[in-house]
Amino acid sequence: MPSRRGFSLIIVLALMLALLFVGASFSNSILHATRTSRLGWQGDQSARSADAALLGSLDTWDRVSAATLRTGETDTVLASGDASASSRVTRTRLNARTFLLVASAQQRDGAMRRTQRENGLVVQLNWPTIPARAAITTSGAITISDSATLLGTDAEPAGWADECANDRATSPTSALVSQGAIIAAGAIVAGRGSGTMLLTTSDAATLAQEIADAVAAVAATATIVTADSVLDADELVVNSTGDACPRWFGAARRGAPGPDACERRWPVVSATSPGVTRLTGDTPVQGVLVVAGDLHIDDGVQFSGLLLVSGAVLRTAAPSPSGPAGGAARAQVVGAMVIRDRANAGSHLEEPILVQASRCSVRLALAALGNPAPVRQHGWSARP
Amino acid sequence: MVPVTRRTGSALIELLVAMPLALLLAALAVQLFVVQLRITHESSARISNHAMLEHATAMIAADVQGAAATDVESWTDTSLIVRAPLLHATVCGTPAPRVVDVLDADPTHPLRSITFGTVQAGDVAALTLGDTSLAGMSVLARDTLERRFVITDVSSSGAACATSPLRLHGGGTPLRITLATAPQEPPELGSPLTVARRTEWRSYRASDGAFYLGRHDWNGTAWTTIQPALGPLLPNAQHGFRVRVLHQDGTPLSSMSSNARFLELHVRTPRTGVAATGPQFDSLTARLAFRGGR
Repeated sequence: MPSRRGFSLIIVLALMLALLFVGASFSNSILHATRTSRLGWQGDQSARSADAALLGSLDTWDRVSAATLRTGETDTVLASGDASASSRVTRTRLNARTFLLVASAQQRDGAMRRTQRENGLVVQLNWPTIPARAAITTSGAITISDSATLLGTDAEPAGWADECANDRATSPTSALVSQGAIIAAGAIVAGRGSGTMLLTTSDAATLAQEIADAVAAVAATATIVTADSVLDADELVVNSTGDACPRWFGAARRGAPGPDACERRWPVVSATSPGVTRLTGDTPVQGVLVVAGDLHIDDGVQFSGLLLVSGAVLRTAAPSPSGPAGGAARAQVVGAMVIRDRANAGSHLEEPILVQASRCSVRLALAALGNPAPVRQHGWSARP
Repeated sequence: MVPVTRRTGSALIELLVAMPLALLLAALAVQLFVVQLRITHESSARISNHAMLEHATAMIAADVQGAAATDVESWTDTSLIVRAPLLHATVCGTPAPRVVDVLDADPTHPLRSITFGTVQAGDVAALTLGDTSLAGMSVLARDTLERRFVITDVSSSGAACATSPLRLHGGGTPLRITLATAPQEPPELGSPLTVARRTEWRSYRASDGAFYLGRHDWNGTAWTTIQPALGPLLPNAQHGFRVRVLHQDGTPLSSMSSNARFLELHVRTPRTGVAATGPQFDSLTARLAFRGGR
């Protein structure tokens, strides 16, 4: 019987091999294209996520928490995501008004591959224009006794050196800007030039309007609104974290035994009482105080920040029997005092008081009502 | 006697039927594979072209980003000279009226300087000057506070940063920049500082005869050698690279004016390995807004 050699198997195997090769190449090509496009897509998505996180952090800016940061400190303002995608925004304070935001976003594809993009943005706080041209700026008249000291040379409150390192003024400002002033011979009024700048009637009218605008804008963003006519700096209240802080303001004495959280508070207080609002107590406090009526500053008051008053400022003997019985404890305001004197009654500084210009304490206080606006793109970097 | 059984062979017939079918299937598969390869190749080429175009546009955008119209020195249809950023940094000290210290380029911290080259004399520093008021000026006036100064010296000795509250974020040696003239007011500490350098983008013909989009900068005395960033491009006559400065309403300007608002860039690269019909190039148009108008 003749032997019959089968060649069909070989042919089929060769064809199968060829088909296998074509299929494998086909699959490899598709896999490569898929992987490349996925990585590219993930990179794009990371970049977009970083951008979105950056914009989101601007959108959800917390003014109160921003004000608690000290210059040079960093916190995390936004963190979200899961195992496959995450984004995070850190915020570093560069000075009272400037922050750097850095957004980092990641996309993960299993355990082996991930893409990460970073994007940075410098923002400056946009707060209402405050016409603080001197330690005391008033569109009305003012009477200053022998026991008053007004200084236009910039100085920060004691213990604030590091906090104020990036916010000191490089040149002195005026001690007093007013429409009219009666200054006793023994009073100390020192600053740029003669220390005092008198306004013309029309300039005073313009200033009065600017102050009115500032009062309205600041009052609209106040964190505490009260109709109380007495704001006692010594009054404490226990906050949500169990810290006993001054009820109305932040604590201005640095390094004191009190909680650090109190020293990082920068409230914006709007006192709506149409009459006289009294600021009393001798605990050093900080913040912004907007007064709808007149402001009486009692003995021993130590305030750092901005006083914005629609009426007049009175530093006279205690206006009521319930107040301190006279005395000579000097009151102290470090920052700026802006007075509209709506009724043209004139402000009176008759009892001992020091008003010290401080650019740093004003700007730190105003940060609590500032909204961020981008300055310029800080650049970006990508990490593989 | 053993009976002889008749063995009817069907293998040959089956094979004769199967083989053409298999060959047909294989031919179809190969044809599909070839088509797929061609499509993949074309798609890859297009994706690659677009990626290159986007990359080149992003590079130009990075140079123009943050630029005001005043940063554009000149332009033609096929070239652009702009002051491009070289360094973004944070001011941490002003030890003398003409001297500014900035944080170093420590790569581990967000406050690091971001640098695209080595700063040298002749570069221009843009500073945000401090405002002297107690409460700060309105944010609307922010751009007016930025001033530019020519740099006369750069060294790695920013000692003033050692006392800055930002010092915790500087791991290396800060940079000390000396300006030709003293600013009227010193820059705000903690404010951003940008150093920019004259940079030219243009379409040029290389030794291989093809057109490329190239970039080079001014080293203080002469232009450096141009380096290709994208190419090959279509020739200039076919608008391989076109630059236009536009008015706010989109009309092109022939010279810089206070109405300049946008910079428009148009780039075209030839497609390779495509059928003779249809577009023979890929293109991208980018319109960038100048910072702050003018």
